[in-house]
Amino acid sequence: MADYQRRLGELEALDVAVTGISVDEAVRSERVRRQFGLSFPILCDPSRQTVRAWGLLDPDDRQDLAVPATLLVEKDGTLGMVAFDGTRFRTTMDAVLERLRVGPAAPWRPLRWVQAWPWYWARCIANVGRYGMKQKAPPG
Amino acid sequence: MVMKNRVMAPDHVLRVGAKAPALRLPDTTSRIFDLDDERARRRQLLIFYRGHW
Repeated sequence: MADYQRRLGELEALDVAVTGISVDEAVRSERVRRQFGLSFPILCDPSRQTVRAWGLLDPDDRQDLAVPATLLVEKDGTLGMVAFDGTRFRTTMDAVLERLRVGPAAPWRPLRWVQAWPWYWARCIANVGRYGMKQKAPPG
Repeated sequence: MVMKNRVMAPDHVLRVGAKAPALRLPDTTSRIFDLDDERARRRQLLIFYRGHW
């Protein structure tokens, strides 16, 4: 949470608002908010109704906590990013910002007619040999 | 190593491109946060967390 607070400006520049959600009581969440100086809201779901409806209630946890997850809701109400983080590590700030800057992954596109020719693939392999597998980031 | 899937969400609930379920909860100052109103203004990044992390 402290990470998100630190880089809130970058997120706001990308037209994104941050909201935390936990199953803690309001008093406890408010303490967390004050401790980390969070300026974004933290929602409280002590009844766990919403967390259960979203399917994010941890079935293995004795205290019925939520599974750590990072979700992006677009303006039209669809989910733009879904990351079930689990308890080991969280989706990093860098990954979130990268996703927001780059946009959604391109959908799979059907084969084009040039791809039916073997020399298209031969050219691809030659290009990989020449330039490597990964595209270089654009300068700047 | 066997990794157990800890998330019980059916596939169609939380998937990229699917409609987000309803969310209407009070925040720490008892102000009601309604996802449908908020997301119309700006994209919303929801962080489900436990403890402080």
